[in-house]
Amino acid sequence: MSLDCPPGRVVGVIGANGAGKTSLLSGIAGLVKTQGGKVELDGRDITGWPAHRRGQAGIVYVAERRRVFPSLSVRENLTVGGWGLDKGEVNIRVEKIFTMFPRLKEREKVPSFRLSGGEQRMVSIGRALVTGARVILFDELSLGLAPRIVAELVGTVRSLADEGRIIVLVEQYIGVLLKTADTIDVLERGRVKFTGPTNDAAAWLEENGYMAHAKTAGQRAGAQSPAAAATGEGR
Amino acid sequence: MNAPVTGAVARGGAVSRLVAPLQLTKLRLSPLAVVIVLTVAGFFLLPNDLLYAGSSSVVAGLVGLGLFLPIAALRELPLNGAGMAGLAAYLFAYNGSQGGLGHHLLGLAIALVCVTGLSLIGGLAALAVTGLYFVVASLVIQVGIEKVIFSIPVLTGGASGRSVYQPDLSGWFGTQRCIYLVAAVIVFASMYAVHRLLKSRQGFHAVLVGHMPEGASATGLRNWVVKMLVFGVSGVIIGIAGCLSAFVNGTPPPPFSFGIIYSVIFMAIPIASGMRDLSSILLVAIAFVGLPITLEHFSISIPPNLLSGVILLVALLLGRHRDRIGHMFRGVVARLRGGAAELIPEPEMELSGMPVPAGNGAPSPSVLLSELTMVAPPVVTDGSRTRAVGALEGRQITVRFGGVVAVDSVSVRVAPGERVGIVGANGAGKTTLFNALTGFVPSEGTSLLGGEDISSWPPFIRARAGVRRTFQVPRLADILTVGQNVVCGHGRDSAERSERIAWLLDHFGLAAMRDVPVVALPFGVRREVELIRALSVRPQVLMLDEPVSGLEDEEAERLVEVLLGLQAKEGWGLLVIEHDLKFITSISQHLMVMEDGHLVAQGPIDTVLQEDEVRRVYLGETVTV
Amino acid sequence: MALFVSALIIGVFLGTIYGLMAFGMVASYRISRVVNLGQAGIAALGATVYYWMTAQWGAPVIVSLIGAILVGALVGGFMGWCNLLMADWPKGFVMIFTLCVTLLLFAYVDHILPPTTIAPVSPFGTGGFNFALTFVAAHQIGTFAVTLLVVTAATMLIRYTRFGLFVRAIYDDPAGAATLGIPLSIYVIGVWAMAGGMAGLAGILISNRTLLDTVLLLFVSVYALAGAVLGGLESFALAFGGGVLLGTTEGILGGGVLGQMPPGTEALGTVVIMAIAVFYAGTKRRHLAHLQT
Repeated sequence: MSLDCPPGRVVGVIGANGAGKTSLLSGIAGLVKTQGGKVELDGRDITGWPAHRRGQAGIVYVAERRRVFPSLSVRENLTVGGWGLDKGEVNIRVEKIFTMFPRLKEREKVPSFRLSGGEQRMVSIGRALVTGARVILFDELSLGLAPRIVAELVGTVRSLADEGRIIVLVEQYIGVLLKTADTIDVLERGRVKFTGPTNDAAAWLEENGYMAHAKTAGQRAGAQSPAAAATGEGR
Repeated sequence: MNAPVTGAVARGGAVSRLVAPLQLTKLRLSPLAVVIVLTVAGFFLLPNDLLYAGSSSVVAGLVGLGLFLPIAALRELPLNGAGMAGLAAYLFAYNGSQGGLGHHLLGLAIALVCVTGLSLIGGLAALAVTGLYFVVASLVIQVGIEKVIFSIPVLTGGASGRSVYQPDLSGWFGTQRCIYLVAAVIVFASMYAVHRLLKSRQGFHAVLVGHMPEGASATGLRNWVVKMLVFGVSGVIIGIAGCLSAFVNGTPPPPFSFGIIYSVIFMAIPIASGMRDLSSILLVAIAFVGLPITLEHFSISIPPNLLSGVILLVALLLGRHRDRIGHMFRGVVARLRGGAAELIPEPEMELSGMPVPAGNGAPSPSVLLSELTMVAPPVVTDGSRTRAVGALEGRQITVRFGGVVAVDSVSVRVAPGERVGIVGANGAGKTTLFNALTGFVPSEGTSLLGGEDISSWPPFIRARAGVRRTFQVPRLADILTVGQNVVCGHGRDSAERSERIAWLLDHFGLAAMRDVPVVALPFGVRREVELIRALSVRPQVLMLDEPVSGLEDEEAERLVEVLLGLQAKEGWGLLVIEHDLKFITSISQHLMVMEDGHLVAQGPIDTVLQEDEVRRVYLGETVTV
Repeated sequence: MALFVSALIIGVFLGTIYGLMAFGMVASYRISRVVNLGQAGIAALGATVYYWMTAQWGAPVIVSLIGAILVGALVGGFMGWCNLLMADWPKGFVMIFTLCVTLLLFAYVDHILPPTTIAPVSPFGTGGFNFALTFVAAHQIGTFAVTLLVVTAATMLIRYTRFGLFVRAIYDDPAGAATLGIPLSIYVIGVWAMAGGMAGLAGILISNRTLLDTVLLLFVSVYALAGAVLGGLESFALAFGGGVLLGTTEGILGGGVLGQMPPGTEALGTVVIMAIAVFYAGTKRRHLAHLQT
């Protein structure tokens, strides 16, 4: 399957459990080996790059649920994002994150396993931003979060894209995508079933009976399906 | 039986693509053949003063075999092998040193009983602590034996040791050759016994307990009994090895050779052999023990540490890359034979994608259903607690994790013949409710089965009473095959049970995959395997956690057909968690909707689905699109 | 009383060395999830290099000390690098690999050392003083001080520096750290090198008292493992404490403090205390049960 992600856009991917969403993102982030296919950034082939090199090049994967460094404090978590930068620069960027999420500032010294789910998600977004990420891959942004928090995060994601970043947002439920995404890809059994602007996608989903099931029901694929052959093309 | 068989074959055909390379193992240089050839050649060819090398490596191999069991089945690393072997050697020598047959057997018996007992103490430790903590616990046992028991001079026989009677058959074989023969026969007998054990239902149970303890409990296995059994057998084998070491040496070796260092080396032997087959253990042991003695005999002096280090390293690499090396070996053989001998492709363990759905004549559900109404599997209960079919009921079930309330006083009831579905978003507490009802997490509130309070029952007793479940991530022993996995579970092995399992495998289209290791299967198919395991005895209530996610549409439809048919026949209750609305509407009569640990709606499925609240919860915020 | 004090001193001495080795074991376990049995071999190599430099070349003690520690760090780093190559191996296999390294190093050490048993000179001289009727060697005091210093420094390194921050991030979630652009290899090799250096130092310090004996060093490293596990493998301070607890128990019970007893009785005490400790630690921290073979 292919995925074309232009800058400044939020690319939504929707699919059920096991449709290959996480494999897709891990493949782009370099955490799993892809079997065939290419990953390109700015037209450069980065398929053979290891995960940390892609991270340095600006592709950051924000994993689902609680993927912060649990034993590190909030500030430490954010500082980890600043690998390879000098200390002053990192501090400036961390402070920027604190102005963006004032709630994190209040809990600066708290070990992050004590944070709520929403705060942890903020930490992982902040961490990604400290690296200066240009491509952020969100896996299930809304999973396990209260609707109010989701609404807040959705706003953040939108503004990140407006600053010219490439955002890939993978979701199981369509609600979040309708509010944020510019285009939506429907993923089924590791293949793209539909791709197009959000409004068309909504119409298509309704037409094909997915809306009634809320999720793209009926799509079931082996969890091992290597759907990771993705082409993420930047400008 | 035509239709289901077609399905099975079609699917089997797809899988055979995955399996075919594995059958090439027949071409492989079999370690067993090598071991047999080496042993037989050793018996006839080794000079008298070198037979000792062979006998000694057999002893090491036997200890390795004994340690292999807990390592392979339970994934625990025992660090007390040398101590146990030493204890056996000393007890045997002490009790048998006066000579005479009776004393010898008595010595053997005492040694075996004591060492097995000690191994069981290790088993007790494994019940309390696991992983690295078990390593240290077994180390404590080793230190205890070494420092406390071995410091009793009477037992170890002092400096000169205590001589052990060795048969003198100089007219026939010669003493050393006879000893070699005894050792070889014992090791092959033990290897066969362990092989049989690992291929028996008890062996599968052990592997299941070691790899997926929850899965074992869910099939009604009493995990601690299985663990103790493994350690018991391991103790017996190590005990035999210890006695044999005294016998082979003529006197038991000095306490030093049963120290911690040797425990580490004995543990390394089975691991370095690659943990795949038993004969490799013996091969590594021969290299490890026999080779240095032989080299010494020919006065080639290589530092023992260098030798053991290199041997371990080579064994490790061989074990890790056996497939690749086997491939190279076959390549060389093919080239030597010359001609058009094709290079056999390297076995590909990578398993991509699902088996393709049945291409020719996929079984249509209606045909299947009619099959079902005609033939039904034998009803098998596991025989432990037979009681009338009753309802499973949870009253005001509350589960707390720390401060988080995962399930908040939810009541649920599944009567015989009833089918209840549970829906809700991720994290709504559905699976936690399942865990509470099956006893896997502590909960407040009452669970009842057929009116009896089962709240205090551990999971395995609930499973034996007929509360059978599957898990969201299948809890199967991955290294076992489909056929081996589905026979796991409490209860006697009977013809009816096998017939029922065969029926289930057939109807789920898995008959052709009996011998495929579960690890090679796609996720959805693993779920079906687990479902078959849960159904291998007739349940009171069957609880399924997302049974169709990962299945193709046709497979899901078939699953519904089979489940409905069987349930109609046998009349048990069914409780299903599923996201897929199409599936849940097709299988349940009653629907429960959960959100954030609460029950927000329940009732007959058609009415529930019309409620606005339900649409909001289940459909997310999409209703207004 | 004198007996008790001397046993206590021996115990604390042994315990600090167990602790020093355990510290490195914990660090390498946390970053690679591998039980590092290579510590024993590195300890033997470190002691040998130190002995060789002081006795054969006549190099100053401090230079030899640094040289030996560097060699230890080098071998440790090499093992860390091998670990990266074996990233997809089951961890039990990697553990056996570290055992291989130890055996090979033992072979090398046995090869270059003279056949008679030797004890390297103490870096702290041969002096000492009497305390409560017991002679306390300068080596024991020095060992205690240096070990404490090294462990404190290493703790500070992990806790308060940026290097340590990235190391802790990798402990928690290697994949997450990688996707933030942190090259794991540098840190894995770095931590293993640190563990190797510590093992080298431990080897020098203990072999002054116990002679340079390879088998004994493996024994020490297994005890250090026990100390590390008793400390929970997650906490450095506790690992150090676990080592000291083990050493002291052994010293007191093995030193004949409690008067004349049948052989083995003192050891029984050690065993009982260790058993209680492992059950206490093991039932408290079940999450460490992910050792796979």
